[in-house]
Formats: sequence, structure tokens, C-alpha cells
Amino acid sequence: MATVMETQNGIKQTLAYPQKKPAPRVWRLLKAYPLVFLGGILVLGLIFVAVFAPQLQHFNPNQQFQNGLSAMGGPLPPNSTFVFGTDDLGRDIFSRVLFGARVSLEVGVFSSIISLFIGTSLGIISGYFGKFVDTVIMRLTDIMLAFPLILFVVALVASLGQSITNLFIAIGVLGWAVTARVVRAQVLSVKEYEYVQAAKALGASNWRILTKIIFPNIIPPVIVLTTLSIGNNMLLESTLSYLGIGVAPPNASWGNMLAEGQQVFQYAPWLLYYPGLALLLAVLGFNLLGDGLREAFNPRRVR
Amino acid sequence: MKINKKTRLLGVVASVTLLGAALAGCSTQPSATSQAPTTPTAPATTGAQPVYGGTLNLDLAGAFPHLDPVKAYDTTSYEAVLQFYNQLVTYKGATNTIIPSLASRYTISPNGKVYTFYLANAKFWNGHPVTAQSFITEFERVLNPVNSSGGQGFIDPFIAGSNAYYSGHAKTISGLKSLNGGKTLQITLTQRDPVFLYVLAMPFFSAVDPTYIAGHSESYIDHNPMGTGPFYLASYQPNQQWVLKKNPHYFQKGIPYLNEIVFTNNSSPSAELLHYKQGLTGLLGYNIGGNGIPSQDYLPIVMSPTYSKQVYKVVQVATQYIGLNNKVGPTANVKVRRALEYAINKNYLVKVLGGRALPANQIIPPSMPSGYEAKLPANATYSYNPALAKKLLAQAGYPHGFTTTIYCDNSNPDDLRITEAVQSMLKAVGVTANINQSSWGTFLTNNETGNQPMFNLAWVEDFPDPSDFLNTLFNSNQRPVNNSTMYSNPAVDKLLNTAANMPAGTARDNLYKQAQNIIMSQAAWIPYAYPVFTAAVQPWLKGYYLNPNQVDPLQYVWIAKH
Amino acid sequence: MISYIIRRLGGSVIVLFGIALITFILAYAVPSDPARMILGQHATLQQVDALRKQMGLDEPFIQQFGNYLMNIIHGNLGFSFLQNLPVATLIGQRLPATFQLALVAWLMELIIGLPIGVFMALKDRKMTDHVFNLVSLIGISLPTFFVGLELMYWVAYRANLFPVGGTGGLSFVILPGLTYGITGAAYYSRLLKSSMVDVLNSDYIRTARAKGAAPLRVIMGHAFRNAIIPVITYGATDIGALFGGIVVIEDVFGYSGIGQMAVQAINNLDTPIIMGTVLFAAVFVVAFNFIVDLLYGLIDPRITY
Repeated sequence: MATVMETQNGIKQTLAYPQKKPAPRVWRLLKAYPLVFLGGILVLGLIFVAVFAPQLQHFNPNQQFQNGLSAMGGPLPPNSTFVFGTDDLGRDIFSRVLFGARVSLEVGVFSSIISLFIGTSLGIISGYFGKFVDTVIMRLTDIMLAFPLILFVVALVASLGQSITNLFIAIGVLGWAVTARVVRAQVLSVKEYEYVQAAKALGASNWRILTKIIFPNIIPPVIVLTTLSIGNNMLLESTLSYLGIGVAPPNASWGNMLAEGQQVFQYAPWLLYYPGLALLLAVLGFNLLGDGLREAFNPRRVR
Repeated sequence: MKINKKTRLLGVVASVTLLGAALAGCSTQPSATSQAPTTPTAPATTGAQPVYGGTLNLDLAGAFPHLDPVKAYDTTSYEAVLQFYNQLVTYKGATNTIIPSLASRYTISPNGKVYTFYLANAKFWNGHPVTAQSFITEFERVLNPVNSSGGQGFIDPFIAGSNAYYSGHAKTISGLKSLNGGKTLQITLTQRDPVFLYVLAMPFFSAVDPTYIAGHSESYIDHNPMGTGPFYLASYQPNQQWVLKKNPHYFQKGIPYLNEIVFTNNSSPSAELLHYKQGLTGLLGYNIGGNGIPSQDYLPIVMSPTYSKQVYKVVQVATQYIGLNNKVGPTANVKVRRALEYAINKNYLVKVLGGRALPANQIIPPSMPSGYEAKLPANATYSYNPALAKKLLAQAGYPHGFTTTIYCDNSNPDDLRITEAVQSMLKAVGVTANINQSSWGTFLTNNETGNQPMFNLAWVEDFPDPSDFLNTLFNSNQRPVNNSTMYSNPAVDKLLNTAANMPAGTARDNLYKQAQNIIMSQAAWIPYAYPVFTAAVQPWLKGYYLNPNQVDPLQYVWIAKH
Repeated sequence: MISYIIRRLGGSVIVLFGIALITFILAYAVPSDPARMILGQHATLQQVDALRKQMGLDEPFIQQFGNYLMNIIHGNLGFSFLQNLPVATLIGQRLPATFQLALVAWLMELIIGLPIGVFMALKDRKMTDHVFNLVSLIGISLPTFFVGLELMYWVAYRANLFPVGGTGGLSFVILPGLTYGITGAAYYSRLLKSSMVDVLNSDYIRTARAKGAAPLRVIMGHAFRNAIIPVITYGATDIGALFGGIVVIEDVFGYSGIGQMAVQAINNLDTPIIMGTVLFAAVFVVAFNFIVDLLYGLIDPRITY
């Protein structure tokens, strides 16, 4: 182990810039972090379920079965017809979990893309052009970061109205500040490289420097952040559903299934456990993957 | 009033639940009997001797927003104010009958305009006596615009001089007189008002101590009550705990039995259920914060052999309905509305509610003392028939259905479940309804513009009279705020306006029935359920009953040895 | 240094102003009428209009916001629409409960997170590391309300160890705090682990080891002390955020903290409370960030201002 670390330390010092790593090192890290594989498998599994939900479904996920409710009007436990049981409207939980994968992944991905887009653009502008623009943008990120997270989204959805698009926007708008800060820091450090200075001196245009040098260097941290934020946003969607402002019915998301399930968990825990397990595995997958990628891209970086 | 059935997350809403009820053994509504597993009017206390003393612990879903009767216009405040204050009249036990309270007796003039109340010998907690001025002060406070009291609309313009006082044109209310050295209160009305005694039983019109009112700020009074009630507020920790102690000088001899009631703030329905199961709280689903046992706690209670025996049920004087816009969109067409009536399976909706409702076929609930029709005319009767619904839609010009939006609020999980079930039934007849769910405040503001194509809402009585349903919700002069389906029919208006000033009786009831028949035949609404109020009561808590129009009879309950 | 502090303070004021502005816009944009909500169904339109006027709701946006800012500058957070008390009083009433929960939640994170972090660093890339890592990641991958409900059911109800819910003394705070600890500990363990690995591989630790210093002494005396700096930084911002209230956990356990009040206010459109609670939370975040920045300068002499 000592030698590995020593080599790494050596790499750390000599290869601190630029950030691109030789492939074999990534491979070694993957071996050192088997959890990354687990993460990858979980994420691929999630994508598979989301894509093939219509093929895998047992029933129409939104259909309310009259025989899906007990005589008392309660949900049915898992049985041969409804393998994961039914929910409190007599719908098949198995099929809803499958389709929930779609919606939850959509929320995770689209809101992360929004954060990614805003955060990266503002981060680059801020870091590269500096001065007044930088001050303004950084102040803005300070404001965003100081906002009580959930209150902001709740208030935003309350004023925009409840729809899945507004949910993407609310979560996305919330998440860009961290990305912007990371990107800016990265741009600042890359900007100081001698070869960037040299390129500038040789008269390379801003555009060329941005696209050819700066942009490739900010990709690794941004990938890590985005991977982690997909998982976090899926989790945030469940929280918002719990607060009654998640994905609008009747479409299932794991979040609104959990929100329904938490009401009845004392006597119908399957409403909570199946979507809960699905959400756990998916978010865990993104967390493991993001964590591993971070280690792979930069062993010094923490959170 | 319009009501969001449950206010868990909200804590505070501008709505009142006056939970009306027809009880087992109560002559008004036999249909309720089948729903009541226990006999609330004759609780297990019969024959047993009440025991004095003890502390009753109760969970409170949210802080008491107001302890000032002038401002108490939400379920939670209502509960507290009725423990702290008394009114001139009140409801008798578990009935809709009005009996004297702080007025030991009263007379009404033959023309129905002059009410004379002879006051009982009662004292405020500070020892000051109750006089006619105690009420006059309170009426003035209700009418003072500064207080923004929800009670104003109930007496203005019905009490003579009330509007002049409200608008600042008069220094006193000419219709209120203190007679006989303050021992008698005389109220003069501008016209006959058959619901006036019901109005006087509302907490708005409690006796307050004029010197206390004069000596303290409005905000102070709102948090530090001074009343005549069975319990006084001994101490409180804001948002955590309210301790109520027995008023030893209560003007009704022999009660209350309890020494102390402790309300603990606990907004979590899951925790509330577990507290009840642990035996820590005496009641689950008393009126505070909504309509009975929290929706999510109901099935675990009724599915348990032990706890299901402790459940009290009673049909509320309330109707849950899908409002259809009578003015804009496809539902402006009466044929479309009539078609949609056939699309809704009300029995299924009742099942979705876990049986906490009766299927509805008309606007007036069966628990209303008058106005409910045992049999509706054929053209006002609808049954579940999706094939017919489709056919009628095609005849109305929508063979492929249409797309619309159905609004609901997010304060109670039941609302969304019902709306989703309705959505799926509409889908079955080709109508695509998107759900727009929002907070109660947003929903209500939007609803009152009269522009919602469809909405899921409930109406709970202010008092047990059909006018409170039909006139408030369907008179064209109530558009768009209360009549938010924008229903307008001159024939109905005429019936309602005529009935409003008639003395109570069959003639008046018949006018309301006629009005309802017309409204139902035009399918202004889809009434789908009459909610059932439920409460679970510990076996050791005796003397409990569900009374129709007021909140829990905490002054009458006692704790048996256990 | 002084000029840095002044600049930094100026920045904080701008941040708070921005938050106030954005919150006000959000609250203003919600389609709702507080006057109608207060007065109820039986109020006439004229009555509603009168109240709107009285509450200043008919004034243009800029003027309403201006009034609001002027009031804040005078230390007045406004008056709750629905609860008939000053917002400052309402926040004050919930302050003790909120702080109690914040502190316990934070301690729980540390109690769970830090030992795991140390173990992970010592067993870097061994099976123990992976297992601990997985376990702590499962913690942050679970919805908080899920964890809260399970704890409530099993620990409070079945095992009867703590009160099920509500607000009271310390015993009411343990489970909500533990919920937060479970779902947040991984941030600390990962942070501590990676900074400890860095320190453990640094030259001076290897020197100390080579000289034969006892392993535990090396770990606790040198590595932990040096590696804890980023953890303190994160911890300070974390508790800053916690002081603003924990919305979901408060709701699950029916705990009367500031987070619960804020969500209720959003649902009731009680704008003064929404503004008050958001600003209150933001002030703590900003203040703790400020403290962290200053601390950083004290701890790490390489940083100059």
C-alpha cells in the first residue's frame, strides 16, 4: 500500500496540472474502489427499468382496480396478482415503481441539467472574465447558497404552480450555485497555467482559450457534481412530495409514492418499502458513482 | 363554509368546522344510525356515577391561532373558545335544538323581530358579573372593522343599526338594548331571521368582560382569554402546551368534572395515533384541526379489533362535491354537466374514503334537520352509468370528450385521492382532467374567481339550516365567492329570497326543496359524499358524545378509574 | 484584516438584501389573497377591500418592499397575518426548541460521522473502508422522513424508549436529532476520511511513525488534529443551516420548530412569517460562513486577506 500511495503522491505533485489522467490510473482506482462498480450497476439498472418500463409492467400503472382495495377500502398486501401489493387507490405498486423510475430519473436528470447549464456558464464567465462580473455573480451564488433550501423550492413551486416542468426549474435553479463556484475555482486555477498565459500572449482568442483549454479542464469536476446532484435531486423530489408539492398525480414518482406510503406505513408498510427501496438503490448508485469518479479524477478533492 | 377537510400541515386556516351530526337515537336522521357502531347519545356512562378530578391529555394538531372569540373562525380556535367562553344560547347535548345558556330564558316577539334574553347569574373568572353590556361590547367588537371579525357577515345587516355601526355612521348599535339594570338584553332585528338563534350560538357572540377588554390590547386578549367558561387558561408555552384548569365557580352547577386539560402541540398524525395507542391521550380525532381521526390513522384504528370498538361515528352536516363551472368551458353546457353526473361512481369514492362517508345524491345532507329529500324527482336523480355518460356527452357535442382541469388543495391526503379517483372515472368516459393541486390559500383565492372548470371541495354548515347550503352556494348574488360554480337561475333566486324571510316550517322547507330539485336537474354540482365524523375515545373516558354543531363536550366528560 | 472584515460584512448585507428581495418577489407572485383568508367566506367584498388597504396590500410592489425594508431596519419583522402576533415574537417562541434540535442533530452527525471517518481513513481501501463507506452512503441516500418514521415506530413506539412525537424537553429531541444524524453523517465521515488520508500520508506523519511514535498517538495527536480543520469548516456552515430549522424532520415528529412554522406560513401565505423565517435562517448561514472565513485565517496561516 505504501508504494501505491507513494506513487500517487508523486503523481499528485507532478501531475497536479493539467487534470487529464492516464487511463491505467483510473483503472487502478476502480480496482481500489469496488463500490464504483456497484454504483455503475445500480445506475445502469435504473436506466434499464426506466427505458423498458412499458415492457416490464404488469398493469397500466394509473389504473385503479376495484378489486385492488380490501373490503375496508385499504390497500392490498403483496399477492399473486399484485406482486408488490396495491396502493390506497387500488393501483398496482409494481407497475408504478417501474414507471416511477422514469419520472424520478427525469426529475433528477433534467433539474441537474438546468443547474449544470446555469452553473457552468456563470462559473466560466465569472472565473474567466473576473472583476465586476465576477463580484456580481459570486454575490448571486452567495445569495443562493444562503437560502434555506427547501423553503426556497416550496415557495417557488407555490408561486409558479405545481407541474413537473416547474419542479425541474425549481430544483434546477436551486442547485446551480455550487456548480458555479466549483467551475469558477477550476477556471481560475487553469487560467494561471503557463501555457494558457503563453497562448494568450500568442494572441489566441478568448473563445479559443475557453473551448480548447478551459472547457476540457472543468469537465471532470462537473461530471462528478452532476452525478451526485442527480441522486440528490431525486431525493429532493421525494421530500417535496412529502410536503405536498411534488410530481402531480396520477403519474407515479417514487417521491409521491413514498409520500402516500408514509401516511399508511403503520398498517400497509409495503407502500413505503418498495418505492423506498427503489429510491434508495438509485440514489445510492449515483452517490457511489459520483464518489468514485471524484476519487478517480482528483484524489485530493473532498466534497 | 368551504372547508379543506383537514389541516395538518397548515395548522391555521380561515375556515370553521361546525361539525353537524345526526346521531343514533336522535330523531332527526335515521340514515345516520346505520353508520354509528356505538350509541353516542347514550355512552357507556349510563348508570355509572361521574368521578371528579383528573387530567385529560390531548394532542393538538396546531397552535390555537386565536383565543379571542371575535377572531375564532377556524376549527382549532373554535375548540378553545368554547372551553373559555359562553354564549347566550347553545345546542342541547347531541341535538340541533337550541337551549338557553348564559341567557337563562328568552322570548321572541310574534313578528320574529325582537328577542329578549334574561341573563343567568354568571361571573367571569375575575369575579366581574355578566351583564347585557358583556354582549353589547362583543357585538360591537364583531362589527368593528378594526377586528376583521368573520362574525360580521352573520349579523350585519340583520341586527337593527348594525350596518350603521360597522360603517362608522353610528356610535352604538341601535338594535341592542340593556334593560332591567343590565339583567336583560333586548335585540331588535331588521327582519324576521329564522336562523338567528343558531347565529347567537356561534363563539363570535360570547360574553366578554367590558372592563377587561377596555384594559388590554387586542393582541393581548387574543392570547389571554377572560371568560365565563368551564375551564380557564392556567398556563401555556407557546406552540407547545396549553394547560386548562377547572373553573370552580362555573355558572352551571356540578360541572366540569375534570380538574385539568392539557393540550400538547403535535402536528404529526403518525405520532398522534401512537400516543392514543399508548393510552397517553384520551381522544383521537376530536374536532381540533379538522374532521375526526386523521385520514391516515383511520384504517389502523378500524382494522384493529380493540380500537375499532372505541370509534364514534356521526354524519356531518356537510357535503363533498365536484364543482362544475356553469359559466365557462364545456361544463357551461347543461347537457355536459348532466352527462358527468353519470360518470362518477360514488360508492367507489366512499370506499376510497375508507367508509368515512355516505354516498350523496343531493346538496342537502341527510343530517340536516330540514330540506333533505328522501326521494328526488326523476330528472334530478343520477346513477353511475358510464355508458350513458358517454352517450350524453356525444349528444352534447363531445363524442371524443374534452380536456379540462380539476382543482384541489393539498391540505388533506383524502382530497388528492378522491380527485385522482374522479380523474380516472372521467378518463373512462373520455374526459381528460389534469389535476391542479395547490395549498389551501391558493386554491381558495383561485376558486373565488369563479374560473375553475372543475374543483373538489366540501361545504360544512355554519348552522343547521338549508339556507346555509342553498342560498349561500347557489344564489346568483353569491357569485363568485361562495357560488364559485357561477350557477345562476332567476327562478331559483326567487325561491331562495322568498324563503329567507319566512318563518321556519314546512312551507319554507318546501321552497328549499323546490330550489334543490331545479339545481340538481341542472347538475350544477356533482355531490358525491356526506362525510362521517369519527373519533376514537379511550374506554376510561366517560360521558363523551358527538354533538351536532359544537365541539367536544369536554365539560361533561370524566375519567373513570383504570 | 480589518478592511477584509468590512468588505466581508458589506457582502453579507448585500446577500441578505438579495434574499429578502427574492423571497418577497416569490411571496408576492403567489396567486392568493391574505385578506380573504383572514376574513373568511362571509365577508363582503367591501370588507375584504378595506382590510387589503389596511394591510397595505393594494400598494405597488416597490412600495410594499420598501416599507418592509424600512421596518426591518427599525428592527420590526412585521406582524403575522393570521396569528395576530409580531413575527419576531413568533420566531422567539420557537427559538429554544429550534436551537435544541439543531444542536442535538449536529452532535448526532458528529457522533456517527467522525468515528466512521477515522476508521475509513485507517482502513483506507480495505474491506472495512468499503463497508463503512457503503453504510454511511446508504444513510444519505434515504429520504429523511423515511428514516424518521421508522425510528418513530420502532424506537419510540415499539421499544418505548423516547416520546413518539411533539415538543418538550430533551427526550423529544433525541429521535429527530438521530434522524438528521443518520442522514447527514456521511458528509462528515467522507470529509474526515479524505483529509485524514492526506495527512496520514504526509511526510511528517511518516517521520513520526518511523521514529516509533505509538500509532494511537500518531493518529489522535497528529493526524486527527490536523485533519479536523476542514471538518470544522463544514461543521460550522452545517450548524448555521440547522439553526434555520429542519423542515421535514420537524414535520414528521410534529416538532414545533421554525421550519414547521415556515412551511405552514407558505401554505397559509402568511407573507410576514415567510419573510421572517427565511431571513432568520439566512442570517445564520451568512453569519456562520463569515465566522468560518475568519477562523480559517486564524487556523491556517497561509491564508492572507
